[in-house]
Amino acid sequence: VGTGNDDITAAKIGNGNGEVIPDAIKARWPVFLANRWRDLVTMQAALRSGDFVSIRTIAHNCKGIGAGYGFPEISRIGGEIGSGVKALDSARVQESLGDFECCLRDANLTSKTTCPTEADFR
Amino acid sequence: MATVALQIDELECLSRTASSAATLQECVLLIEDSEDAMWLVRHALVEYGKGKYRLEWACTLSEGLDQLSKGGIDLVLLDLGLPDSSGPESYAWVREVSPKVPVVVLTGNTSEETEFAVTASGAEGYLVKDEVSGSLLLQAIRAALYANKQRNLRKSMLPRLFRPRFRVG
Repeated sequence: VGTGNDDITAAKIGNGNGEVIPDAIKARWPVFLANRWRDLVTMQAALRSGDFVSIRTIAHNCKGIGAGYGFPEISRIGGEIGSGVKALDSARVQESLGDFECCLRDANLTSKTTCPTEADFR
Repeated sequence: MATVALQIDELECLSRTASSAATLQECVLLIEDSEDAMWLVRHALVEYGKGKYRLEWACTLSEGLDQLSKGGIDLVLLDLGLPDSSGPESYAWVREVSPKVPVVVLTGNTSEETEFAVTASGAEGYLVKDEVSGSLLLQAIRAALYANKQRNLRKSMLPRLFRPRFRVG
């Protein structure tokens, strides 16, 4: 999902509806991304314990809000995780969680925010 | 003394104006468990609402129903995936507690069955979170409030329309 131009940064930082992300929303990026890292850790733990319901709830939320914050990839992968859960396909969910982690690293880079370390979740 | 009195009058006038502006605002209750989603809605109301809307936030259905039962809510924005309720059942609870307040569903649930179930039961709108922009959200809110006012107006006029105009005998 992009904005129709060749600028990769612009394509990633857009909500998919062609709207520019307002500064007030950008100001919340550090909190938003930290919350998504927390979601990732929770989903990984839920996958280990076979708790698909929790994964579906979190993925559903990521799908709903990622684009609004300017990260349509977060929405897309949230949808992918949800589809994996629906199919009860652990391998597919695991793969999507890997994509989610890469996406969050990219998002931290493009938004110039800091990736949390493992210690942040202990 | 006159100057002081005038200043007090001005202050009272300003305070009256501020409080009447607050009462003129329409109160939108968002029932949504994600704080990040709440910030998006809050921003949309500020950016596109031109100061006409005030946001109240409840992060569970039971908290939302509590707020609704207290009154003063003009519209409900309802997420269907809540910690204490999910799907069309959440909508049914809101309707039960507050049958006259318009409800716009704002959800990530793209199921057509859910959309049909909820809209057929009278929801004023069904918006999918990752597909709706701030401006579209405001359009939906305005349309829902307008439709509700028209409906209430028609209801209040019905008794007058059917009142007998002539007395016989």
